[in-house]
Amino acid sequence: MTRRARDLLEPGALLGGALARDLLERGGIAAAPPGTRLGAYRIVRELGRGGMGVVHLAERADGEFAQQVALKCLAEHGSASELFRRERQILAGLRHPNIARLLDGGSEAGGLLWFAMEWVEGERIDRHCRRHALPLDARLRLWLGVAEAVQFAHARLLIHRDIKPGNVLVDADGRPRLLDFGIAALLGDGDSPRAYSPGHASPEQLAGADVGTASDQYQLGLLLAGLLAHDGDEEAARTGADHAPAQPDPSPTVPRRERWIAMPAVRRRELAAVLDRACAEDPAARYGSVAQLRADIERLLERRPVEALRGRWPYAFACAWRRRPVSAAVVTLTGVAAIALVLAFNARLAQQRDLARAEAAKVRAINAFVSDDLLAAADPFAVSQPDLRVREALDRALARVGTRFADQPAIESELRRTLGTTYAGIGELALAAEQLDRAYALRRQLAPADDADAVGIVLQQARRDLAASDYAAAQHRLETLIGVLETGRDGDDDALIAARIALLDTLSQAGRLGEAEALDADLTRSLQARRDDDALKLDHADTRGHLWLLQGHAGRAAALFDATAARRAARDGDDDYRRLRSLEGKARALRDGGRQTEAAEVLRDLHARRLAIFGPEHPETLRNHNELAVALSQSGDRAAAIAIWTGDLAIKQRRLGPGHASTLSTRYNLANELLASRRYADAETAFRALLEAERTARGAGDPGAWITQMSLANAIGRQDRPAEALALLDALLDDPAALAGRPERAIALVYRSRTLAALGRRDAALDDARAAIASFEATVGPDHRRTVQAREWLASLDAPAKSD
Amino acid sequence: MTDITLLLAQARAGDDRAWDRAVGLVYEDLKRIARGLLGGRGSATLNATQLVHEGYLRLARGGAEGIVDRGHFLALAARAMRQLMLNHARDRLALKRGGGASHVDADAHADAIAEEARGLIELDSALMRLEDDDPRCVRIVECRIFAGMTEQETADALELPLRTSQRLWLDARRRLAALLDDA
Repeated sequence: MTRRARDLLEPGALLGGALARDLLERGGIAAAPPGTRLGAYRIVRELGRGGMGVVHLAERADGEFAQQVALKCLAEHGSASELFRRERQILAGLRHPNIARLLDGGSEAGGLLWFAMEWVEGERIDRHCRRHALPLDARLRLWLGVAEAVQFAHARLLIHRDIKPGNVLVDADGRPRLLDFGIAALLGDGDSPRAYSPGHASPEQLAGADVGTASDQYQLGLLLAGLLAHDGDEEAARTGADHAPAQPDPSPTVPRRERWIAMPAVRRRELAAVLDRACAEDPAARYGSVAQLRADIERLLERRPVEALRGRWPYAFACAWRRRPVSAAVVTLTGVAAIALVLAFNARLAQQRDLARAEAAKVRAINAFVSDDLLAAADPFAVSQPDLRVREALDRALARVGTRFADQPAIESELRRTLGTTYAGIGELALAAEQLDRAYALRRQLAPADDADAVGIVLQQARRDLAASDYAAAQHRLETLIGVLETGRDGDDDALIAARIALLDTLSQAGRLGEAEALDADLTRSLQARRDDDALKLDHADTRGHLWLLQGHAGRAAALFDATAARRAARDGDDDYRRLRSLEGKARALRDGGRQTEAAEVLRDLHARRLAIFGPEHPETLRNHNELAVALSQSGDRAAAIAIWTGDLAIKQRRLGPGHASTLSTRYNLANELLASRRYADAETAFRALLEAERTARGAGDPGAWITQMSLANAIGRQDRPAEALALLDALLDDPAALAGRPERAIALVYRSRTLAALGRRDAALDDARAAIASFEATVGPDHRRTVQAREWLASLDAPAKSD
Repeated sequence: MTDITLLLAQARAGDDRAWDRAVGLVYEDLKRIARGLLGGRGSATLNATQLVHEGYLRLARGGAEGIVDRGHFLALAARAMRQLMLNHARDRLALKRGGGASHVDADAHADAIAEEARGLIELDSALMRLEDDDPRCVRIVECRIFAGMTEQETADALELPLRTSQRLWLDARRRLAALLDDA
């Protein structure tokens, strides 16, 4: 016998031997053979080996009921049997449709513990989900059943401690049943409640700390993450990489989103936030109870905002958009930015609240200021006087709240960034630049140049530059940023790619198409390995579509926008704002390609969607409506275009005031359309109103007003009132500053030439015609349609002279 | 886990009882890990060495600041593994002998387990005798045999020069062989 003992002295002999394997495989528990009696039960057969022992199918040995039970045998030496009995009674009273009830239990001599519980014939919940390829909502509802059971038990001060897919079976009725309730707790003898299944344990279980209901919540979170996995590898979906069991991922809690089943991005984000919260390392950071976690998943099912994302402003807005199109309709573009600002404040304040509860009164005061004063004032559609300027409200907010956070640069940076974005949104580009620059400087005091927030600010600055047509500034900014990101990051880093897409957009808009094309090819390579519905890949596709448009490939661009819109629809839903943007690109491409009717069709669909989402008076809807009217006008349906512009003009007058750029532009479009429809009297009225509004809003020297004056003269001249028309044109052309160096001056000269001819002043008419031709040749070239038409006019003026 | 942190600090300061109690705590852990590991995943990929590492990872994750020294913990775990294996060996033999005889299949596999169990119990009594003579040798054996550590890991865990550790290992094997022959 000593030979065996000596063999064990070889390194590896003991650990690799049969005894060690037996220890690990059975935990020291032998299977009970069929026929063995335990309490009132007789073993029928072994069902399998579970986390803490062997499970048998058994039946009542006393023949009282023909009941089959799952009988679990566990070896636990020295368990407090008194405690065990008491707990068992409580558990046996735990009756819930989603809990497999504990029926009986006992201990045998030799320390063997057994439990008899309702035998559930079913399939593991995760396998059930995958085998039936259940859609997301169905999976969530199954999980809700489990959560409800856990909540029910928590109300009775019972903790499960070992919730995992293997402990939840879906029975023949499709009902999830939670097994093994309280067994783990029974095994944790008082001060060392450490029974758990590795890979499914909460951090506090791993740490051997006190385990409460928060631990069950954590495990419910892991269970949910497992149900979201699209493949069979539930472990990998829940944790990190495939790992050897004894070397678990150091953070087994991180749900792997990329392995989840297909779902809209917003749902993905919501679920990630819910799971982040439920599976927070710190039990105190989780939901207050399983009931709250359950409520959040129910909200998610009802498409209401989840608690876990509350205060993250773009999300809150997206939810309002998704859920209540009617109430969101009163939100303007500027209002949206203001709300963003408010919500950003609120998020920050929430942090403050956590840091210092003592300051609750102050927090309430700021909250009240933000929501009552700022929000109410900043939303022009929410107040009766449209003249109350959003800008003033923002300025006031900046002065007051900015100083409040002056000693907290991180918050101040965030606020200024939001303010800058808001200013950019309302066209105050200089102020936007100032705020964004300060936001950036503040952020850089705290973080390096490749910090995510700093990068975000730079991208925002570049967007502002583009809005101001300052292509050189945008390009310089983005190239510097790319330089920073390229050191120390992979070529396929998300931030780097986002910056390069922004640069591509900049180069395109700046007309540097050769460089843009090279960058485009580069980006295509970088994004090659990504999925077709990758967010950046789709952004790139849209940007490339606009490049193609500029290169004149309208047909190709239309097809690309169409494909991108389809991918976005599959990914984020038909009404996702990015999909609508892709559709806008498609409409523009169709229009550029001369396919006006198709363009109008796309725009009509877009408008219907925006109408449903935002209502008729939202700037997004109105902008879209304008595009539709342009397409209708170009496809020859002038009456439809006039109807749209007439309706929208009334809305804009009321909402934005007569002097707003958008109101003026609609009035101009309408007047022009009336002129083109030969409704000269209506056109005259429209142009007169426009001229007055322009002069009031911008002063007499406004280039827009010159063009209006010219168009008005045209409308009057067409009504056989040449003297009036001439007066207007003389006033315009005698002013050397007016239209200087612009092709419109030549057009005005042609008009005056026609007017003079109508008045019989042929020589003066000839002079103007010749001046117009010279002016056209200088500005648009000798072969331009306008130049040719002017020459034809001159020829027709000359002809009667020669025939004289 | 602060318990273990504290006990380890005391053990380091030369308190043998603290060491024993720390071993006791780690033992409980290892036992639970061994059981628990059965559930979540197949046991085929698990070996006893990984069991020890899992124990260490759990401690490290639990934020036990005292366990900065992985080697020190592994020496502790090696001792705990020895107890775990020994208790399991006793359980197996008890099942085989006593009223539980019918619970166990009398197959070749079970025989192999039983034989190893008996060998381990013998080895353990030899180790107990060696302990009186030269505790350092026993620590070395525990690291090499029960925790599956390499020569270098053993030397690190016990804070010994590699050469000394190697010498003690050879010494221990020779003396244990002699003790087993005597039995």
